[in-house]
Amino acid sequence: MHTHFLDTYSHLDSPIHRVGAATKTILSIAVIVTLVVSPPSWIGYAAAGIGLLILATASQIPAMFLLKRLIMLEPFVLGAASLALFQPHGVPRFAQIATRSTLCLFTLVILANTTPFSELLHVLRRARMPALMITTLALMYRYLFVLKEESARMRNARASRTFTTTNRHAWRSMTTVIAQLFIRAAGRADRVYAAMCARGWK
Amino acid sequence: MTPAVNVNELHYHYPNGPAALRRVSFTVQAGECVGLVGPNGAGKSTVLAHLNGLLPDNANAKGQVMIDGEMICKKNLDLIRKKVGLVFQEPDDQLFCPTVFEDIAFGPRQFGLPVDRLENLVRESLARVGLDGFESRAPHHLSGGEKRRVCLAGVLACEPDILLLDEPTSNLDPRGRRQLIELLAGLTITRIIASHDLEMILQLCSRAIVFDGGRVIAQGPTRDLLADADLMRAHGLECPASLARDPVAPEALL
Repeated sequence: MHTHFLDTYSHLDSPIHRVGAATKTILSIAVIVTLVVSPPSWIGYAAAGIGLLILATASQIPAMFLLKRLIMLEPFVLGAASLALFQPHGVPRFAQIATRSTLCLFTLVILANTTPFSELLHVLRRARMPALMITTLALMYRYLFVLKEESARMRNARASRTFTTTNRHAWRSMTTVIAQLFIRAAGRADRVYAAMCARGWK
Repeated sequence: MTPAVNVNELHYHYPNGPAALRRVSFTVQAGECVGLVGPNGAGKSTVLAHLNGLLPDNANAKGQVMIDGEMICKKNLDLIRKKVGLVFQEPDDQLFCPTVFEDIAFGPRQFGLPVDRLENLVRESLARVGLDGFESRAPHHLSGGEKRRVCLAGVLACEPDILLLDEPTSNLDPRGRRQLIELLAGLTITRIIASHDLEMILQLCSRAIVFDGGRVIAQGPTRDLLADADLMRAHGLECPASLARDPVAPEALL
């Protein structure tokens, strides 16, 4: 079973994909910092938005895919921005913060989907991010795929023996699956740690 | 000559569990290829974990494990793990890095290999297992057979004197299994293979040790042991078809 659910398009060969991971990371951070510190200006936001859209088109990643990624992360942005509604001049401020954060998020979505994760980790390592954090990120990325496959297998196994689908039943067996996933993940963590020790991890 | 592996009266029980190993003793000479055979839960994997120093030497373990004449203890674990390479049964447990390159480089990096030699070593290790050019692949995009060979490459890259393999042929298709057997046959280092793929054990190992219920039941030349139909059946195994003088009808096994 080959899962592509995270890095579906990060291995394409477009002009954007070909730019070095370090350059892209630095440029993305620069864009974000500029957006955050520059005085609010709708013309500026529009320009940034158009620029990002051009980059997104050049990356040859399907627009729907990027949009879905963005929408998936949007609740966090809107949640944080909605705090502005409780301040004086709340509505314009809310619009500003939401637009600004969405643009930042879009920058990161483009960066993450045009750069293989292992290269991003390499950039972080060279930027002296603490080794423990990089190891944690690397392990998390690696085992997200394994967990995804494991949960898909368990879902199939459950579905193939489910004969009556009432809501109550479905929820109950869902909780079993989630509990099982936790237990299996804990067991796997032990075995992975043993495998790391076997090759000299300290 | 000092034996490569010497296990003496090893006794072990997992925390809150019944005894997993009971007074296990055996010796493996340098350069030998030895098969550990036995049913599920016989203690084969537990023995391999002990040989790699993975099970802490606490009150649960009694007896001695010597690698190259050195008794395994907390102090020399680094040395032991450098000498002894373990290929785990489940490739996904062993391939924990985001790329094949990172994974194979993991061991040598821990053992302090200079960065400029890593790239060569990874390339050579991949070539040894017939996976040239796989450096930048992600483990989750490999087939089962490829994963298994990357695991082997990652352990071989540490240049161990003793190679331990836990069920190396499980879940492989015939071609993947054949490739792996040929790879293992081509090695000259000491190998200890735990498996119930008895045809594979017969092809690779000159000597076999039969485990059951955490005990060593028998040891001797592979051919003699595996041809002993009564011994095999008594311990949840079957004579490999290529050895059975008196092939049992499949229904007689039920």
